[in-house]
Amino acid sequence: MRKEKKQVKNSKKRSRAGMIWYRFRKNKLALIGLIVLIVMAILALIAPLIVSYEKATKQNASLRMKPPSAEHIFGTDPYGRDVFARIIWGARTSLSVGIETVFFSLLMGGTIGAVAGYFGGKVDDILMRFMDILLAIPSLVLALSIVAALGTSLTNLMLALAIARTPQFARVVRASVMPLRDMEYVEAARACGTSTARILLKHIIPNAFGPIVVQTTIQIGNAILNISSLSFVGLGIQPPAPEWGSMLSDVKDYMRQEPLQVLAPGIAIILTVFAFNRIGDGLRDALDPRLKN
Amino acid sequence: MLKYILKRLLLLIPVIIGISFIIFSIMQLTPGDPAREILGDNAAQEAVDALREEMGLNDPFLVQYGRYMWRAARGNFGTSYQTGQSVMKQILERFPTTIYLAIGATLVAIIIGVPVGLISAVKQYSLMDDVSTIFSMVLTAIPNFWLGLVLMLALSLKLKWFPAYGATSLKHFVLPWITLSCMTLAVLIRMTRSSMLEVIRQDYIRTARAKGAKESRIVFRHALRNALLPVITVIGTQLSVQLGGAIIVETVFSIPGLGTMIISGIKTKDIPVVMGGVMFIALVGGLVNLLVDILYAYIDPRLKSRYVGTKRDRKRLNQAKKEVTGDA
Repeated sequence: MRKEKKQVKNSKKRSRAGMIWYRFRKNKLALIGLIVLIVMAILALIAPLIVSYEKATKQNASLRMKPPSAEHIFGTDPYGRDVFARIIWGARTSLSVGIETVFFSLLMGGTIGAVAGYFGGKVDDILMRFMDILLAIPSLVLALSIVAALGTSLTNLMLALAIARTPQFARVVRASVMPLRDMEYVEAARACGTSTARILLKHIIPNAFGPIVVQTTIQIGNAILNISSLSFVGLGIQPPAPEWGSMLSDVKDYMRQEPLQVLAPGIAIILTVFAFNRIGDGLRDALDPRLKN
Repeated sequence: MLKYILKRLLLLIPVIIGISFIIFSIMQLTPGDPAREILGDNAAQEAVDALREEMGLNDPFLVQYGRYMWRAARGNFGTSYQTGQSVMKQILERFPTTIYLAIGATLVAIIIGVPVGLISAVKQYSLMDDVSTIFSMVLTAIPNFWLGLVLMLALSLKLKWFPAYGATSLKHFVLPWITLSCMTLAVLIRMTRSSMLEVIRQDYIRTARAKGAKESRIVFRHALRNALLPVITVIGTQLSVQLGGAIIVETVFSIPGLGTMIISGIKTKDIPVVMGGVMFIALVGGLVNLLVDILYAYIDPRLKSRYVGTKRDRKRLNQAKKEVTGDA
């Protein structure tokens, strides 16, 4: 009894962020995801301190397909590059490209969704029909056709993936903006003569924060999967830049000799995507407890 | 029912126009001159200009789009820059392989996913439930091309149970099916579980229990049938996702389907091939969703009753419904 009271007292003292953290923490898998992601991010950030970029990219014919040793923990790939170095530097590539791509689509989708949801009517109809059509094309197919038209480069890859996930963000933001636009405080802001852009940015978007954060987290995992898929078929990140998907395509013909080289990049991808998915899930429960179950 | 199908078919038209317009516009962004691409770098400028005129590349964008669609509607997607072959012919040759791959993978996902989801709902919070939940979480994080490589390494190269490349026999398709099914499998497990959990808490299930029906009868006859309705919709959307995923899986196993055609088209800058292939996949995806919607209406009597029977039947039915709910 006393314990319960103490808990209630404690929870009252917590700030909103504290409350979210308290609920997030209870989701063990989400916590594991967060830890995995933090470790990945640290490895990606300090990659230059762990192993040189040159080791990850410089080809060396005399070192082809060496088995794991003290010098090369995961061995070397068919071009004589250190697999461990490529995994670490690959984390840098995957995380940065994945995050940047998703923020770009958040910006595009968010703007479209906010405008559609706030103005409603014809604007909403036209914008959302357009988004529906984009959504009807499988995202990988859409991304492929954009890469096909613009050519393979890092910018084009990011643009393609960002456009392919724009409709998802437009939908989420629109759904969170719509119920807010008729709230009294928004009307009050309008009566004060606040500009539409300011109302959206200052008064509406912050309240739609939860679903947007959740969607962003899950989409980053998704984008990382797509980047590796496109790189695997040779249309994503171009060699010699280290990327997990293209590492797999490099060893495809040699995998019988060194199975570890197939396992390592794959496990790196799975861990990262799993981490993002779990964090997204945990945030969903933590930000909006009503949604749980 | 016919009215419903017609209505849905009509709704498909703007979607087709939208999809094709977007893909056509994207492909127009391709740098370089298609006429130059066909004739090669050494061709005279006059010849290139003449070919441009002949291909209609100097016409306004909308005219070009209209012409493309008019031809596409009659089954003509143009000719490949590389081989000079009809793109439609290539698509028709390769499409059966891709659809065989996608449908097989969907079946694998249904056969495993629905029972697993069902068991974990019926035995909620059991060990089996935890295992299947984690299993489906891991599945969504696995890149399908990697799973393909690992399966190939273990089951074809080491154990030699299945062939690693090609698509000539049923045995060739086993690994690609499993590979392609993983994402859908994860979605189906989760969907069946949550839909079943929702249904099993409803009043009519309690009624069935109260009247003493056997648990197996409650699960299979009363609950599962209703729980499967949302699952069917998901299967439909997943099938079009599968067509996209097939592009990657075909590359892993060197299967001569639409996916490998599109990828090699992109690498050789063969725009008609890429555009035809992508357009075809997107359109088939749209059609599949339509079919699923129709199937859905057919299975769900609540939807079906709106469209089946004569006008008078429906009027009576509505009357009866109003009397029951008491808002006549």
